[in-house]
Formats: sequence, C-alpha cells, structure tokens
Amino acid sequence: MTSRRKFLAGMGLTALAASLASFPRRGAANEQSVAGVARLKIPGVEDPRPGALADLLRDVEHNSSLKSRLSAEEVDAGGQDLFNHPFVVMSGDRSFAPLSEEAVGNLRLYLREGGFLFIDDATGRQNSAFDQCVRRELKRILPGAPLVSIGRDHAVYRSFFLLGGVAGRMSVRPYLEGVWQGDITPVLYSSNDLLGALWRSSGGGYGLEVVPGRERQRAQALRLAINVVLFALTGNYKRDAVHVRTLLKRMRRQGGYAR
Amino acid sequence: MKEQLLRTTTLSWEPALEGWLMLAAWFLLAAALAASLYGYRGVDPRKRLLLSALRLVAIANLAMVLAGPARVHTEGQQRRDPLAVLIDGSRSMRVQDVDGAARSSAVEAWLASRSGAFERLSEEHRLRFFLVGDGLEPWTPSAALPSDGTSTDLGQALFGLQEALAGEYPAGVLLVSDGADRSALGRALRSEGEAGVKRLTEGLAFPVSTWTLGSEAGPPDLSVSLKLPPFGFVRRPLAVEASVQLSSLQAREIDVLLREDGEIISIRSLRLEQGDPQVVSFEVKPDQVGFHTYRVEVPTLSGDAIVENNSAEATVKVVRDRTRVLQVTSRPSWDVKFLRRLLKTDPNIDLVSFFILRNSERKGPLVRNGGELSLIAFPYEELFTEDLQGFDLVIFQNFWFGSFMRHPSDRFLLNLVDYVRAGGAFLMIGGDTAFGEGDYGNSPLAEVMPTDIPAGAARPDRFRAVLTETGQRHPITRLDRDEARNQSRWKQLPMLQNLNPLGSLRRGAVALLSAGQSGGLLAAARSVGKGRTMAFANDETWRWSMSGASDRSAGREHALFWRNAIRWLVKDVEQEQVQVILDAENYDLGDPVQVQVRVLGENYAPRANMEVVGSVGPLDGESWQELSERTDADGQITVTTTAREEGVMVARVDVVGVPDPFGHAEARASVVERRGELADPRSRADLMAALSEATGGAVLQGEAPDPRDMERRPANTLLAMERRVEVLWSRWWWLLLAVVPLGVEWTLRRRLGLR
Repeated sequence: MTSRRKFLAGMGLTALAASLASFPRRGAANEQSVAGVARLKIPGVEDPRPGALADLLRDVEHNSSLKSRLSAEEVDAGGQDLFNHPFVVMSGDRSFAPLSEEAVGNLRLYLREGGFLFIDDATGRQNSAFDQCVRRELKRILPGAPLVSIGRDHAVYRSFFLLGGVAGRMSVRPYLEGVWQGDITPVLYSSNDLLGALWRSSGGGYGLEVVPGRERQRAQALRLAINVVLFALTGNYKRDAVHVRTLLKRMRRQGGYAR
Repeated sequence: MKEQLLRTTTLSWEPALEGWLMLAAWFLLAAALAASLYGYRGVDPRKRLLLSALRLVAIANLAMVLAGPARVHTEGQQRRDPLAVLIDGSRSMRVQDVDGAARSSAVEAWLASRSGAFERLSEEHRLRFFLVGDGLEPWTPSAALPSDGTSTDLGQALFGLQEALAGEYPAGVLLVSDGADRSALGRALRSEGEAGVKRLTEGLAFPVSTWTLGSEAGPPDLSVSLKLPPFGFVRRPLAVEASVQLSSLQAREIDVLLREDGEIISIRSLRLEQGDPQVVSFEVKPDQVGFHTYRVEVPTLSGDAIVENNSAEATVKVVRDRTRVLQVTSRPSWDVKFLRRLLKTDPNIDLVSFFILRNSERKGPLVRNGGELSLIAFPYEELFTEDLQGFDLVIFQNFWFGSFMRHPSDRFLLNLVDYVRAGGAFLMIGGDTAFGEGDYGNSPLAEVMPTDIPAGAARPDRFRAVLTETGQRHPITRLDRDEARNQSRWKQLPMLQNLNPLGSLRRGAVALLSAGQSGGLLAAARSVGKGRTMAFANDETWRWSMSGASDRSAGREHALFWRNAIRWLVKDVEQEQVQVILDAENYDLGDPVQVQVRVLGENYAPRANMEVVGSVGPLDGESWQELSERTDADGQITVTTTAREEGVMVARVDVVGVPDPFGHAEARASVVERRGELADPRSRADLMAALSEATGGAVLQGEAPDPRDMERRPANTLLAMERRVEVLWSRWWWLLLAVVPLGVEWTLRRRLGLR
C-alpha cells in the first residue's frame, strides 16, 4: 500500500526538476548527518569577520540540501579536536608568529587524512603581512607541495553554482590558489577577503562595502563561498564524467558562467 | 628349446695375498733376483748365464705360487639371453609421412612382413616386445599397435629395460621409432652432438640397433597454436593470438575460427605462406568473471599429415579488474565525502556518484532560474532500470528513495530486489534519511535487507563499534589477519554518534558489529539469492579515517573496513565460502592436476568435517576422479589426479547441506598436448644413428629391414649352479720346480767357489 508521503513524493514532485529532492519530515529535525565548519585559532589573531562563517552556513543550508551546524567552533591547530572537524577555515588580517612544531605536524597529518583547509586573507591587500605568514606556514606544513593558482576548470568553480571567476570584498587576485596532492586539493586560498563580503554587522545588514563591483560582486562572492563549502564536502564530484558533458553544454548555451 | 646342463673348466687365479701385500712380495722377489745377478759379476759369462737362469726360474716359480694358479670347475645351465624390440607408441607415430601412411601403420606392416625373421630370432633368443610411450610397457605384435603416448623418452626406456626384463641384460635391442625425442637424449644431441648421446648412454651394457621411420624434412602440415595471457579482466579487451604455420602444403587463403565455450565468436581470413608462423590476433571482451575457454581452428587441407594440430585450445581465468559502484546520497556529508574519496582513489573501482545537492523546499535568493546551478538531472529511471545490471554494487548512503522519483518508487526498488537476487550487491549506510527514517521497512527493499527495519529516528548515542562473535572472523571486519590484533584495532577506533535502529536479523544474515557492548546492531550482512546485502546503521565512519594518531597504520581502518565490505559484497573470489582451486589454468596431457577445496562457514571460520562430493574430469564425459571426502580441521580437501584427456576439464564440488549457489563451486582448465609430440613431428634419424653408434648397435635401413641384422651378443649365457676351485701350486712337481733349480744353482756356486 502506498503511504501518503510516498504518494505526495511521487506525484507532487513531478513538476520539479529531477535533481531537486525533498526529505522525510522526521529526518529534517534530528542532528544526524550534519556538516559543520570550524575556524582555526591563530595565536594573536582575532577572527576578523566574526559570525561570517555561521552566516555562510545558513546561506548554504538555505540554498542546498546540506544540513549544517549553524555555528562555527574554533579549534586549536595543535589539538586532537582538529580531527573532529574535516573542514577548517583560517582567516586573518595581520601577521602572526610561526606555528608550533606540534601544530605544523598536526595540520600535516590532518590534511593527509582527508581534512580540508580554506584560507582567507581579510586584509584586501597584495603581499600583506598575513599573506606572507600564510605562505611561510604552508611551506612548513606541506613541504614540496607549492601553493599554485588553480584553473577555471577546477571543481570549486562548479561544485554548486557554475562560476566563471573569483570574487570577494576586494579584487586582489583574480584567482584562487591551492595546494595539490595528487588529484585532491586539500588547501584553497583566497586573497580577496571572501568572508568580508558575507560579514554582517550587528544590525543585520552587510557590514563592509564590496569594491569595485558592489552588490553584484557580493552575490558572486556568496556563490563562491557556498561553492567552497560544497567543494569541501563533495571534492571533485563535479568533475566526474557524468557531469562534465552536461555542464560544458550548459556553459556554452549560456555563453559563459553565472554572474 | 630345452636348457641343458653344462660343465666347464677354466684356468683362474686365487692369489695368496691381497692387493698391496702381493705387490710388496713381488717387489721383494724382484729385489732378491737383482741382488743375485749383481753377485754374479766377474764370473765367466756362460756360467753366469746358467746361474742367473736357475735363480730366475726359482724366483719366478715362487711368484707364480703367490699368484695362486687354480683350475675352476663350473657346472650350470645354459640360458638364452633376451632380445628386446622396442617400438615407439607415442602420438608422433600417427603422422602420415611414410608413403602417405602413418608411421605406426608402417611398423605394423613391417612386423607382419618380417614375422618369419622374428620367429627365427625367437629360436635363438627369448624375444620380448615393448612399447615406448608414457614409460615402457610389454606388448605383443598380435595386439593393435597404439600411438597415444604423450611423450617420447628413449633414454628412460633403454635404462628401464633391465628392470622390465627382471634384472637381465638383453643380448641386444632393436629400437623402432621416429626418434622424435624431446627429452634428455634429444636435448643432448642438440646441445652436444653425438658426444652428448654417447655420454648419456655410457651405462648401457647392450647394443642398441635402430630403425627410423618418418620424414626428416617434416610432414606436410597446417598447424595452429594459441597464446593467451595468464588471466584476463571482465569487460576488458583480451588478446588472443593464434600462430598458424604451413609446411610443405600449397599456399592458399583460409578462415581462422575463434570459439568461446563452443560458440564461434570471430572469423579471420588469412593468406597462408610457407615458412615462419603467421600470427592472427583476436580481441575479445569476456563479459563475466570466471573461466573462459577459447579454441582456435584452421581447416584440414588435402594432404595434411597431422589433423590433430589443426585446432588449439586454452582456458583463461577472467577476474574483475574494476568493481563498478553506484553511490547515491540525498545530501552531502562528511561520511559521503570520505567514502567517495576512498572509492574514487581506488584504482580497482569505477565509481559513479550521484549526490542530491538541492531539495525542493530550499530556494535561496541566489538562484534565479536554476540555469546558474551546476546541477544535472538525476537519471534515476535509467540507473534503476537498464543501467542497473552494469553495476557490481549499489550504495544507498543516507539516501531516501522517495525524494526524487516522479513515479511510484516501488518499481525501481523491485528492480533493485531482482538485481540483488540475480547476483548484485547492495549496501545501505545510515543517516537522517536512511533505514527507518526513509521508510525502508515498508518498501520492497526490506525483503533483501539483512535485518528488519523498524520505523523511528536515530538514537543520538555515542558508542564504540564492537565486534560480534561472527565479526571477529568475518572478512568484512578483518582489519588485521591476527585475531587478537584485530580486536585491539577495533577497540582503539574513534567513537561514533547516532545509530539508525535495526531490527532482528533475517534468515541467512549475520551480525558483524554492535554499537557498544550491549547496544543495538550496527552492521549486518546477508547472502540473498545469488547476491549480497549489507546494512551499516551510522554515518560517521569518516572519524575512523581522521584518527589524528601519528603512527603509520592509524587512519587506515576506514579504508580497510569499507574495502573489505565491498570485496565481500561483490563476491571477490578470495572471499567465496566454497572455493575450488586448481594449480594451473592449462595443463599438458599427462600432467598431475592438484585440486584443492576450501569450505568456510558464514562466519568465515574453516568448516571441518563437511561432506564434499564432486568430480574432476572433462566438461562433458566420464570423470577421471570422483570426490567424496570430508574436510579436515582447516576446512580443506586436496586431491591429485592426472590430466587424461585433451579438452576442457572441470572440477565441480558441492558441499552437502549447503544450498546453492553458496554450496557449489567449480574451476575449469584446459588440457592440451603442447610439449611437443605433434608440435614438431619431424623424424630424427640423426639421434637414432647416434644411439646405435654410441652403443655399438646397427643402423637398419630400408622399407622393411631384416630384424636379424641387428647387433646382438652371443645367444647363450651359462647360468652357474656349482663352482669348484682346484689349487695348482700345491702339487709335488710344482715344489720340485722350485727346489731343483735352487739346488743345482747352490751346487754350481760351490764348485765355482762362490758364496
């Protein structure tokens, strides 16, 4: 006998795109299958965009099927708790002292075991003090794996939205950088203060002006930030052969990427 | 002829002293003689000659006494020595190159035409006939002459002849063969020439005469041989190479046929040329795991002397190169990411993933018309109908079947049930839309799941995965081969949270893991129909990958566990519960075949004392060996038989009391005659001549040579029954011969005034 839910699922969703899904009502309420993001604590560096990660997770949940923990914890790079968070964000706006050897070794192991690190330079300036410290520490954490510019065919540009480029509060570098380990990119780095474009003031509105593209650029930054979260969760899923052909066709049809 | 009693007397020596003592005695005598002669210096020459002669006679007589001359009187029977005729009974004697007739037919004709000569020989000798083939067998010319021996080893036959004659040496041997010996003698001739043959036959104490049959240039023949890799991969190209050779036949165009398991699967045209072998390459794609037999055939041309080598056959074991996995999930999560990462980086797995990235209730402001999204339609209709059979394993990872289907989902789930029953594999992994949360307990899928699926939300407990009793031995939960270390590794794994409720185990299912010591069921597995299913009621195994421990083995448990699970689900051969293992995929005729049977229980512990029945033999035909034994303490049975027939052989076993398909197993192999009786059937007159030369035998020639021309020792040998020795030196006249010369010499010396 067909249940009411199944009947609705079968008939009511007929008009929706096949890729859209609904969920059993029971499941939506429990705490299972929840994905979260944590911020990596850097000694001497406060979170320059407090609350931006939680806002991002809310936007991700609002737009995708993801269930997320809507608060971002802070984790110590040298602690065991790091391994409870497969996705950590490192953001800052100033220089910082070299990480301890213990923290460097821990991060190396974390990335080898499947963790993902997203770095956001909140200064909005090229070759900032934070940028130099980040490059210094990455050389220690992953010696022999350089930070390189990643191409537009990278999965992060299509993990949810089809994107033609990068965005953030500023336009410091027109690309993301990353560290490759085989086919996997366990580290992504944005120099454009991506989280700055999402940060909201205590009044609820966006707290910082986005230049030069203003609100259009902010929307693009939000899309990129959502893509980064989905990329952390799905990896190179969107580079599977079953996707590539369809997506390339859609890009050609649209004459470019979503803006 | 009646054997007579004979008496003979011969002169012999019975020395008084042994070895070096005798030499020493003779030396002393020689020294005494020399001293005497020296003492006669200055004496008149004529008198000195006389004295020396007398002393010489006396000492020589003494030396003779020491040597012990004797007469030996022997009484015994005269016996006729055997005479052996060795006839080649190997398969190369089938070759039709003696005026168009088979070599063996020529031998039969010769035996008939020379029957009178053999009768004459049998009057002088005890005439014995032997067949040389797979050993040395007594034979009589009145029986049909077989030519089915799988090898020719002339050296072994000749050296085994004395034993075959009950210890007697033959007076001579007549060897009738084509000389196509690829064993020791043949190899020795090729590498060392006649000296090699002479070296190997040094111990033979009888002359071997030879008569060679067949053409040294080789018979007119079209032959084919087959080359296959040792194993192949399912759905992957497999190179089958046929090597075709034409000898002394007219060139023409032929069709080369390739059959798989009896069915013609490819035909290639080939323009034949004389000389080197021509290679015809086929490419096949075996579509199933298991044993595949390929046979290549060429036509029989007019005048072809060997029809047996016009086809060749070989069996190849086809294994799965890459397991094709379909992974679907209703929402991305860390568990999904880590399992996908594992499967995607495994070179043995072809992964197709579908993640539902957006659902119908969520339409954020960033999405205007959907075109800016990278989402593609989820092709569930194709996936769960025609494409389903292409997958070895389907994984529902936190996946709710009702979330996307336009049609009533039962249709697709019923397909999935059929897929499992027909041999497919299904794995459900927990999450907030899986098991009871996804209402699977009321779906058709419940029928094939390992457990009942009660309704209800996941329990938010934190727990450690604990091995059940079966889990301690099951291949899925084997993180370490050692049982104690395996337990230890499980105890050290990070804890998990949230447990989808699972109900009672269904028939044939086994519990592998529980959530804590007294918690609910965490993992269970089941064999259903020809397929397998597994349930894992949690979505946090990614924590096993991120242990954070610094030792090298840490973090590998996630990969080990899921790889084990996939191998078991897709029935990796290593994990079959009843296994038949042959020690090769291709045998030569006459090779020993070792068949090993292993029987494991549902818990993968060896099953001792299980009754196993089966057979080993040709695919269709009478078996060579019946099997009815019980497994030993290690759950094993090993039997050895012999590959007795060309073609496909199969070893089939059934474990009594275990239902099909799990209680049945079989393995196949091909039996061919490759080592060479028909591969190179040219006759080797040079080897036969070298054998005669080395042993002092004769080389018989012509169409029907007279067997009496063979070299042989005298016909009779005296078989001693009584032997009497008469010592000669104890006679009185012998003493006189010693004393008289010495006395005369003494008297003369006195007269001459010598001392």
